Amino acid sequence: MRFLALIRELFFPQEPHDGTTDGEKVEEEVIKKVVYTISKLENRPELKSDYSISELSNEQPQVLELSTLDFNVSNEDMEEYEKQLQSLKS
Amino acid sequence: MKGTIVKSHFSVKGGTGKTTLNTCLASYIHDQGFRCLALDGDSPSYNLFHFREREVAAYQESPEVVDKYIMNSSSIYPIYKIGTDEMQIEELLRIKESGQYDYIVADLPGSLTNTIVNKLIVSGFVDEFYLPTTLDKAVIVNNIKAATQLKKFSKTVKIVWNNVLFHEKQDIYDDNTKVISDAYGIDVCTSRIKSSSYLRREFGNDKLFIKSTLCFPTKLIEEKNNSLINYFKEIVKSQRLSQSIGV
Repeated sequence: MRFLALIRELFFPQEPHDGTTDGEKVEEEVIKKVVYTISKLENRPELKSDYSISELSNEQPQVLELSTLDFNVSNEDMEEYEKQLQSLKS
Repeated sequence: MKGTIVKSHFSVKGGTGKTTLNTCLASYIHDQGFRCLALDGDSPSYNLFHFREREVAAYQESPEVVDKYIMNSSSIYPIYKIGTDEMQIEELLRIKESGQYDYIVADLPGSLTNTIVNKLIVSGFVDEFYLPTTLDKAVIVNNIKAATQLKKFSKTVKIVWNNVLFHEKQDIYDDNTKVISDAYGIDVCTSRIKSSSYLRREFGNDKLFIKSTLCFPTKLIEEKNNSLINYFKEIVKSQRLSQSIGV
């Protein structure tokens, strides 16, 4: 929440939204785009040069985190592979 | 040649030949006249980087080898260590974007304890991952899992059979290949790489020479174990030869 507050402070220093539903929506949309841009630039610095607003608005916010790299294998994974191999042979 | 292509042999399990294949691939690419950079991110051992150091030291003590092989080599490709400095990511991305090399071959650790390496993978820095796999169920399943994850970040992710004993029935490899590709959607290289024992027998255990980073014996290996060179031709075939500028 401190992060969102900081973004609000940076982008809406003097003009907080006017309290209407529309104003709130615009602010939320900008915040989403900023968060998404920061997350993309942190992980994909090579994208810096070919960013466009249309790309941002068409994509859902997504953060590629290191935790997405999960290489752990379970017993179920091993059994599933054996099952696939056996079904090929039968 | 358009842009730099980053290739990496990657494996979660040890002993699959990852570093040897990365070393040989970088040397082969350089020997073919491409501009190549090797990256060693496999800390703390940095086997690829230290292999070059040991090789230089060994050849310095053997002037006859220097005369015979090294002097025939017109240039040497650089090997950089990927350390723990966060700034290196920006630097590596800049090097790739600059196109000063045709190929970068990256040796990365399978344990993923280095956050810089993780960030490099997630950033899409590596264009092509090849996962050397032996006929061991644990290795196969681990590499399937890794390949599935790596496909999120790189356009090419393939499994390659390594340390293949050709006196074994190849049907076993065929069956496993079918399961890996059909059931899991992971591509498998057509080439199968023979066990290095074939090479050791031919070259009298001279490991330095077999995977030399200074004077890679492409022609000799092609004569003695063409499976390795055939494999390299398979994964480098789509890119055309450019003039080496030397490094």
